Amino acid sequence: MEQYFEKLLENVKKEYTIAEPARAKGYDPVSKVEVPLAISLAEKAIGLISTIYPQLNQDRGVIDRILELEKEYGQLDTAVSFKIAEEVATQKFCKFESQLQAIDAGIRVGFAYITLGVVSSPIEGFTELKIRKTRDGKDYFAAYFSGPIRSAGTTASCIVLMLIDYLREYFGYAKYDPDEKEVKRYITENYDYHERVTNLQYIGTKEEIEFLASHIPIQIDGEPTEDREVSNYKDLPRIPTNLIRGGMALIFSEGLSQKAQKGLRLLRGVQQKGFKATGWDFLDDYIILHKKREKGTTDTSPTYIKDLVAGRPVFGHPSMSGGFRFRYGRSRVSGFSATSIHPATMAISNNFLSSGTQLKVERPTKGCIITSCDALEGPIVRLKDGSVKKIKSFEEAKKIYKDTEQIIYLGDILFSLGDVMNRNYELIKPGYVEEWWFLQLNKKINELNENREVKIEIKEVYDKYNFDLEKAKEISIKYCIPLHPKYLFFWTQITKEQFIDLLKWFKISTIRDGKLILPYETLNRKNLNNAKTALEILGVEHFISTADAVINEENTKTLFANLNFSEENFKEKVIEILDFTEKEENNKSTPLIFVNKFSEFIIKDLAGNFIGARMGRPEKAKARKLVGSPSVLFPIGDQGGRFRSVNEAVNARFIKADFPTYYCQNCKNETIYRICESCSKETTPIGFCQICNKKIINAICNEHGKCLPYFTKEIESKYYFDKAIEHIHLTKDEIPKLIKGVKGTSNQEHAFENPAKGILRSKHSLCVNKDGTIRYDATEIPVTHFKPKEIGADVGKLKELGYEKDISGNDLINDDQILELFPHDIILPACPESPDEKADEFFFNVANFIDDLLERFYKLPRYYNLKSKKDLIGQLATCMAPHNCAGVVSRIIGFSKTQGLMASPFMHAAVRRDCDGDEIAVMLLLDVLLNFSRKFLPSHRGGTQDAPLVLNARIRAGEVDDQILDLELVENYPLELYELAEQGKHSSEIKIENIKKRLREGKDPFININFTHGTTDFNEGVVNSSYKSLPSMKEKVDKQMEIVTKLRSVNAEDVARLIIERHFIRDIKGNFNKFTQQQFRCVGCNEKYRRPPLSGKCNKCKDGRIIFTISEGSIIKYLIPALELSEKYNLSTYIKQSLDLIKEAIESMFGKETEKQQELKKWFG
Amino acid sequence: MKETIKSLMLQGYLTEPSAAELIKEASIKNEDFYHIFLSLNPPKCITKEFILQNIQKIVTQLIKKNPEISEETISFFNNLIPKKENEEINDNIQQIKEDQERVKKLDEFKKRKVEITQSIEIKNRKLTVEDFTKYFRGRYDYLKRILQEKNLENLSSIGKLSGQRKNFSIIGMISNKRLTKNKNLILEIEDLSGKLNVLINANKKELFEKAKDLVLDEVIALTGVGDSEIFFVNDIFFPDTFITEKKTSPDDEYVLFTADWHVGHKTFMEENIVKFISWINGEIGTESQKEIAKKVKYLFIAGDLVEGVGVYPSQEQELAIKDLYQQYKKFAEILRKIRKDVTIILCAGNHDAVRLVEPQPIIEKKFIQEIIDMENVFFTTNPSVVNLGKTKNFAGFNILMYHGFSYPHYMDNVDSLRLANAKLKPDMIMHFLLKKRHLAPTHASTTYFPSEKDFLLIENPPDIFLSAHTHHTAISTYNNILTISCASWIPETTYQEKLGLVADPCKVPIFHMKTGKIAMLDFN
Repeated sequence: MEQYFEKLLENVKKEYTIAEPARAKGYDPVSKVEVPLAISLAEKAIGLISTIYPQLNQDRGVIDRILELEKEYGQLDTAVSFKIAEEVATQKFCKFESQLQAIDAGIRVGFAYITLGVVSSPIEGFTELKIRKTRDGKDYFAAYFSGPIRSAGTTASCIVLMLIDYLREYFGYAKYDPDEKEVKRYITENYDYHERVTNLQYIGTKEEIEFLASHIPIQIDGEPTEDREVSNYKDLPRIPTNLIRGGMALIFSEGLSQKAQKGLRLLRGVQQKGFKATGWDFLDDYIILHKKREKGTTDTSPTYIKDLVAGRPVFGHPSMSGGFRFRYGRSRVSGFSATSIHPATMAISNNFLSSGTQLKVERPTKGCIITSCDALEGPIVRLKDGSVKKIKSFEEAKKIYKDTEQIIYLGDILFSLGDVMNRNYELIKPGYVEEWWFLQLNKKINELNENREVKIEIKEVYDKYNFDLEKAKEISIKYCIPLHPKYLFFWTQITKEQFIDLLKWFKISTIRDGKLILPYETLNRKNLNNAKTALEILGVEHFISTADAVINEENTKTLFANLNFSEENFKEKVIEILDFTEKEENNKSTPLIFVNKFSEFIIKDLAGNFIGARMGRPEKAKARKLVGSPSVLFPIGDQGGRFRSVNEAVNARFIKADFPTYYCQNCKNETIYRICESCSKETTPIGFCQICNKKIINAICNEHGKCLPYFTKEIESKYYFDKAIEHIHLTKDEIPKLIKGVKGTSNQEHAFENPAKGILRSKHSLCVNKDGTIRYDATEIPVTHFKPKEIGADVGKLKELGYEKDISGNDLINDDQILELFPHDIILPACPESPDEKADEFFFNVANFIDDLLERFYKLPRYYNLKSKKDLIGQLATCMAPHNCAGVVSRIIGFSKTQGLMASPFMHAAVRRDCDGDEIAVMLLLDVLLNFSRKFLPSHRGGTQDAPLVLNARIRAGEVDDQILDLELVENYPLELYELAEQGKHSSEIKIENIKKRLREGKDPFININFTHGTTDFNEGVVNSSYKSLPSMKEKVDKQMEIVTKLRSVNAEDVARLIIERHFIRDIKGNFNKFTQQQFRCVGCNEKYRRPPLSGKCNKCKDGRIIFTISEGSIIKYLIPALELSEKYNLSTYIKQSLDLIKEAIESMFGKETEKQQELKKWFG
Repeated sequence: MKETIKSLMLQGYLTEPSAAELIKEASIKNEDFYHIFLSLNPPKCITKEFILQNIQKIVTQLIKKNPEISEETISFFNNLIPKKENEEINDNIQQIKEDQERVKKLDEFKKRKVEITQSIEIKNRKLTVEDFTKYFRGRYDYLKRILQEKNLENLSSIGKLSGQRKNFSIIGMISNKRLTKNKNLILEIEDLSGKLNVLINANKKELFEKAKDLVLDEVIALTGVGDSEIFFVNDIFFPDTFITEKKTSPDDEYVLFTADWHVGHKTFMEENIVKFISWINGEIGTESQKEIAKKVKYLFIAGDLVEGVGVYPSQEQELAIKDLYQQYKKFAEILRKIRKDVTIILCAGNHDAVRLVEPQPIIEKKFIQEIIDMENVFFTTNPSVVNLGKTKNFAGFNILMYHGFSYPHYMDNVDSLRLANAKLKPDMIMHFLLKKRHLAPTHASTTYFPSEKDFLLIENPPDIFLSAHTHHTAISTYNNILTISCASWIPETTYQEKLGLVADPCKVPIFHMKTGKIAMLDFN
């Protein structure tokens, strides 16, 4: 493993040596590579804060001290951050302008440590510390937060409040003393933000917020983030703004209110280490209040259902029978918030569910993504002719979907135990599954001290799943264990009445050729309804012939084994059970109890708990493009026209925009480049002194000091363009027809890219990002093991990359062997069915672009020299999650057919994400090193988010998101898990080998990561969700209703109601009410008007026509569909009347547009 | 009737044979046809298509001209129309008939000394940006006329200003407002000829105070000095609403003002309403109270008669009656208890079963049939102006009734109102708007229909300005205009509490027409 890391680091350094001389040429805003390599957490944290306080990075003082503290308190311990913050604040390492500034720096360093130095929250989420006066005139702290606090994560944002208060106490400042109005302002503002701006993950009750707000020892303040004012409690003297402060709401609700318990636990740990931090002791009482609330929740419909989105189907109402069956386990591509389902389940979901699709679930987590695993149970369906079938394969499910009348069972959902434990959830009861049965069997074998041969034989039989009913019966009898799950039915899912009706049906049935034939004449079907339903819900496969329901020989035998019937005694037994069942004293018993009473075997519950779910975000894998998809960060002002075309700006002869300007002493010329384009000599910057109102060479004004580093000017566009073409030696034919630039640059110095870069990017059909990099976004999917054939990599190449042995320790020789993935390695998405550009093509283009750039622009040798897309394998890239500011080095090893970026859970944890539906960005490493510049970053708040400010070249298990600690590393779960789960115990009672344990024992966490459920090919299943391929909302909703109507686990009326209530009504009403309050806009110049000017014409361009921004069409778009849905599903009077009122209101404004409505009527025809 | 064709020929029109046939038949059916037909400006060669295309207009006009037109005639014309349009025409006929019924009832109400003086004809059609432009222009023109009466020195239009600095006045609509770094106020003023930046100096204390509360899109007059680039303001004039003196009526009668019943809400205070009605009916109270009750002749309900459905998200949980029809049924049931010689005037509010867009028409008949059928109840639009107590020698009280949906905008956005906590003093907002002479001057402060005539303009100064919506009572006088804000019949809701509104339920202002005195009754 160490060899792997070293080799990787060596390669990374090699790419630095390519990039450094290129940057040294001076063609970029800065002449060196701007992404520092950071190996340890301390380096990352300090690297980040030194952007504000450069003095921190003067020497390694702070970094070394952090390393020392880590030894003292333990890595990632909260105490490390408290101590280092305190020491920075006391100016132990370097001086600051004031004590307040020192404390500010301390907070930021501590905060950066807590957040692993990979997010920009410590520089931009926490924005300022202010001193205000208490009512009796003492100084207290007001801490300012803004939007980017979000990326810190909830726990970290709770801890930082405690950290700030620790410093308050340490330096002897007073506690904040909120008055009644300020407390109420917290309540109002948090609710305003939640209800009017965006949903908070968590919002406390009024009592909770009131309690917290009246006790907090520091004032939580923030800059206004919205244009909206709070609805009440304005103009308070100690709260400077009446506008809503998003940062405040985020840290208050999602941080403090939500994570108080965890925060307090960590704070107690710090206190035990001798720190004095007493400001939060009141939280004990808060937690009591908070828990009371959780218990008292009366809200019946959970968030995942309530937040339903039109077009994304529900797959199960909470715990409803027939939804996803909960199963414990981790496949090669699950865990870390990813779950697996059978490929057939994907197909039977009408292709809505695909690899990488997000699923919002009822429990034990809120969201996850799904992947495929064929070792699970698939769906059971009833066809239109009444037959019931278990579906075993993807292909079969695809074919059968259109003939499916009801999806009786959706199939399994595989949840890793680590995820359940991480969420601190009680154990969910799984159905009786093979692995459980096998654990019981093993236990018995061991107890009986069976010899090796028996063990091997049993294992073999189990592994191949190929034993028949007779063998299963034999094993069960011999070892006295329950009947194997393959031969069980869903006895717990039918009612006693259904059970009785079924038995009565058996009474009139016959056995022919071993098949059970149940009479099912068309005329009599109504009376048999209950019995037939029972048979379906039990999951007994059967088919309907003209007048009978026929159960095949095998299933008949199985059914008989469950009920202890035989062909001979069949009828008598039925009567016997019937008599028993109908006895008064057995009133309260259930079918499962009756079956167990009569069966020879122990019959377990096959169902366990069902998990409600709905579809979340669809998977995604596509190139990232800025609005307008520019290829170059070169400003072209208004001269680029509607397409912001550089070519057009060249024809316009000049460009008017903000440019930094230089002076060439040699040519006596003004230029926009740091290196003169004519003589290649270095130039001198020209500044603009705003006071003198003139240009100043060297950019330092004798009288007024520092100058503005840019000014607005007109440049000769053709001149610069021709120079750029000349520089990269392009012939006329090679110049792309459309090179898109940006209207203007938004960074502080108005730094820009050389147009030559854009010309080359355009040539390779690439777009640039706001920081100069080229990115590809994809849904995050975890993978711990792969087969070479799954990722299209040659065995030879993989060997070169260090994959020498498979998981069993055998030499790698064929492409079907299972290999364990290295932590930095990634598998790129190359989905053949995706409508978007595939990552292999994309990066092939990027690599060619980089080579062109090196050769033609920097005049250096080409680097990649790729001949085919496959040659990308082995190349280095950088991964980054949104809101992060550290890239993680990664190595491409292959391509999957999914639309997810597949990487080790460690990689996902290193970018501080789990796999619950987020996306990650990938860039080629050399692209980042060559083209990224901090100077390009927008100067507004949040500008540094999402930019690779540092590069993490080595994943350390202890320095990534701590969710990884709960990742389990076993091949089998202990039997005790199933036993405890059956009793509904809490997950913390299970002990299992996980990363936490490995680290504690000092073992290598990166190897021998096992999985419990294998899979033939992780690419199998749906790879492109139908949600994405359905062109319009109309079709999405249509298909959504089609699938939910088929699902037994879903109440279709409720879905229809929610679509109307949550989506359509809001949409229609919102647009309708806004119609007469809308903004207007000029067609010609796009100027916005709050209301149309009295002149009736655009004031700016003088003759532009003014048009609406909200059209009538957008109002009535969903009206008819909503009306039709409410009719079709016969929704409540309340809904119908609400809709009618809206309809009448719309008609009273626009008249009855019968024709338009007719057209729309085709919606639900 | 060959004459028809002949007359047409004499006027220079040729008629296609099939068209001639039609015209003949139609003219037999109805004599007005010929004239109406001519008013359509037919082409020189009249075709059958032309007649059929215009038949809808013809029928509408026929009915308007002659309300007593026979069913037979209507069906004759209707048969000429394609099916789809036919439905529309029937709707139209229905509408016209309903209007006629209303007019008839209104005539009857004159006996009760009630007249609706500002009636609103609600037309629907495809809206264009033009409509909005016309709407604002219409408002500007109207208020300009009022402001012109203020004897403004050197009144100029913005487009005619030159670069030369001089003293002048302008009348304009405020299109933008901002503070400069030096805390001066810059307004962008617009008239039909152009726009101009005007500056209000923060040092001119009195002026600045006046200017601070200016709201977007109100129309004002400004005097000062400047040129076509910038204008320095010396004084501001508002259109303002005032009456010269308070009226009193010769009748010894009383008027009651209520609103916001919210029937159907879980917390609707039915018992209190019943108590209130029992008092009106003379069943409870002291002798002197009963004496007053006897003289109560009018009752206003200024909107939010019922709680409604779908007004805000998750409203369903707040409802005791979830069916809108049942809500109105219940409301009617309560109204019916009031003695019949009390005349009741109602309008819709934002909770009622009608569009939110102002002016709000009368609630669809299907919901309120029972109420319309009551002899003593009259429905009107929101806003509306009602004249009360008119006799030979007395002009009657003009009452402007507006539910008040625009008020939250102003109490939130106007500093002086906010700081004075106008949420608890809704009459302040009413005064504020009287001064602007508009019920919702700022675009987007309410949702409105942009018709050429601006129904939210306060054209004729009322004697009484009646509002509700805030659920808080207030009575005061502004320029001799009595301003009344009504209480609700539900206690404070959580939504209101969040907005900082305080309900003041079950209070009823009572107005004595003879003395002009107003008092407050409390049924809590």
